[in-house]
Amino acid sequence: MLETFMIFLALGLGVLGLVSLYRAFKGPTATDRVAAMNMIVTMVVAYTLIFTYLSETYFYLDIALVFILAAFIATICILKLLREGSLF
Amino acid sequence: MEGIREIIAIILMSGGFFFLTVGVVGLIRLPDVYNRLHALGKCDTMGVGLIILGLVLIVPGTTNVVKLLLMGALTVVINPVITHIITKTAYVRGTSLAEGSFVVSTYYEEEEGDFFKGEEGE
Repeated sequence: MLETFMIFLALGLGVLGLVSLYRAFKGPTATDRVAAMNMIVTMVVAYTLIFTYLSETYFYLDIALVFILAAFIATICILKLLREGSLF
Repeated sequence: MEGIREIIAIILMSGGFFFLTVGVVGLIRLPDVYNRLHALGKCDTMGVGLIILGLVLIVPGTTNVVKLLLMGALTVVINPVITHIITKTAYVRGTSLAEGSFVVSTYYEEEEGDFFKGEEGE
């Protein structure tokens, strides 16, 4: 029962990520696209955690941890580029 | 004992998926970047936090539990910071508001009179 629920949860998270790609495609401003990217990063992290449990390979937890931190740095770099015009 | 733990995990992860769904619906449906971030910043944190709490109950091993709790703490700290930075960037870039909304107070208080513009306008 738990594994079936987790498989359907992973499918639902994939559908939610695809739906938020719509906002990344159509968003009127650049900050809309950054917000949609943030949402997709969240979906990918949750999907990685569920895949970790389903495949019982627990080193994927480290990958999710690094993915959170790298996405944080990437978002801050994009927003600094949008605000000040240059990164450095 | 094992069955109760799995049922609690299923309830928690269903709640997390519900919050993520509400966040995505808000991201698609709301009219403005500020409204979208208002929907996204809370539902994102709550959804991933609940999914991580559900996984903590069923993942074996102390190391994996500690990693999951660290991930939850990082998510709770990082997501509101990112939302705040996106909103401030949109404000500095001069993104227009939706129809019928207004700014109550501004970040930059150059003049004293402009700070309570919303109330003095009446």
